[in-house]
Amino acid sequence: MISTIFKIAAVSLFVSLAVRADEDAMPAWPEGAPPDPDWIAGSILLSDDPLPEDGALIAEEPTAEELAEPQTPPGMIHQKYLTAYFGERPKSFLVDPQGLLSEADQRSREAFLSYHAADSAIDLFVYIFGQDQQIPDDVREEEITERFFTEGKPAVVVFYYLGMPQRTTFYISPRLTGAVSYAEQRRAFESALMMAFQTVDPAKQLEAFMLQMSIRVYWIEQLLGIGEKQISDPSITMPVVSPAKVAKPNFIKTQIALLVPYLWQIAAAVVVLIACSGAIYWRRARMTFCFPEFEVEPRLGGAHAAGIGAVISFSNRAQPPASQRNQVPDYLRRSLSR
Amino acid sequence: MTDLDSRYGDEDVQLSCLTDRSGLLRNAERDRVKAAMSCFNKRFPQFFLAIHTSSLGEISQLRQFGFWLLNHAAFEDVSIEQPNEAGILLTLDPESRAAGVVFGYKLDPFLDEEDTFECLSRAHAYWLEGRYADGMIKFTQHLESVLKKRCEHARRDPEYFLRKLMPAGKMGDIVKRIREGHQPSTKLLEKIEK
Repeated sequence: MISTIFKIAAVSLFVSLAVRADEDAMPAWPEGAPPDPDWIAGSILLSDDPLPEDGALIAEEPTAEELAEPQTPPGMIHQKYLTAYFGERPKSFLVDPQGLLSEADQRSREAFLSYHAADSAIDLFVYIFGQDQQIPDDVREEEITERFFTEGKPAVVVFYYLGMPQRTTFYISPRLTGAVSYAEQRRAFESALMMAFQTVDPAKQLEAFMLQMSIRVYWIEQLLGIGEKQISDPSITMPVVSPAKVAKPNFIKTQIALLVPYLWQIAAAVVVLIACSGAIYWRRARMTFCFPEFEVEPRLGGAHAAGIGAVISFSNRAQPPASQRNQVPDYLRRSLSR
Repeated sequence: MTDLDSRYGDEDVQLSCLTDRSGLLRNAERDRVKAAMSCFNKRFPQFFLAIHTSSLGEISQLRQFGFWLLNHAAFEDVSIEQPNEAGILLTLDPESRAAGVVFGYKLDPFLDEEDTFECLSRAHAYWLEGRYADGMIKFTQHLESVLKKRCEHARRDPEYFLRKLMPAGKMGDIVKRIREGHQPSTKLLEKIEK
């Protein structure tokens, strides 16, 4: 019965394949055979012979606009974006005229920077570039910072290369340069960079970088000990501190500031440590020592004791204890007493 | 002991653990020394410390006097459960300017002359300057540290102290007993049989 079923299935399969073979027949040359047995498809492209008329490739000629427009070297920012980048003080905190970030990321970063600006006395401006892009030689970042960020609220300006955070450079407003030591600036920057390197996604790298930079800007603000009103008031001069003068206190303050987020944990650890030390000390102070008891044969006629220990004389300063060692008379030594 | 009995008497002497016959200690100093002694007694409940000062004259007499005193003293402030075997007596003679230590049989395995000498050495500088109380406290503290070490050692290896008590002749017996008690392994027995 089963073998019959198999036979029927095999026959039906064979018939269906034969029908399909008729429908999808193999392609054939128009004249029934290839033009030349030595012919190789595409070989004409590799030879110097001119292309046949029918298959000639027609390329579009460049337009007048394209001819007028100078060629942008690879890696350079296109001319048309330069004005948006460097033409004026940016209107928004995130400067991305090339649209390198996705819309959602752009909105999110922009919102974050606006929030930071509302909360902090120092603004944070971030210019976004492609990872291989070069800022034109005639544009100097320091000059841009000086030109646009000398007046008004002081700012930290970051030139960030998306996907390549290590190329990032940053500058601070001229009003802050005298007040914040270079070492402190470097620490802030390196800390932000470290945070960026914790992920590989360029958008997340930027997010982490900005978040950490914002935190460090806040710390700088705290270290300077100035409020928002003070810093935004151009009539008040920022305290100028020489690097040598500021090095040590700044370092201590920075270390303290680093510990601030872990204050509760540190306090708990200290309390536990003190409690443990106290418990150990208390236990040791009340520790009693018990010895095994052995039977000792009485000697020298002593009912309770015959353990003759040392004798020391303190009559003469010139006779130190070291010179009085081994002075017990032989007749009192234990070995001879037996 | 018979000689000493004939010199100092054969009757028991009643005295307290801290007896200052020479009047070396002031009241405040006495309290400090007593506190140190009390601390010692708490740490080592099996033992007690006694300090006795009196003028004897010669260093040799000090040694003999200490030996006689620990065998004849009846310490008022020591419980009856603790016999003099558990006592450590520091004797101090301001006349001969010497100090000596004697200890009971219970301490025999754990203390030796060298230990007591170290304890006295710690106090030497103080006694040289007439600071008797400070010297006594220093002596007590060092004695505590020595006994703590001995206690740890005794916990780890009590037989070490037992061997110290055994006469030289009996040491051979121990080795003999160990050898007798040793059972050869079954593998070795099989080899011998083959």
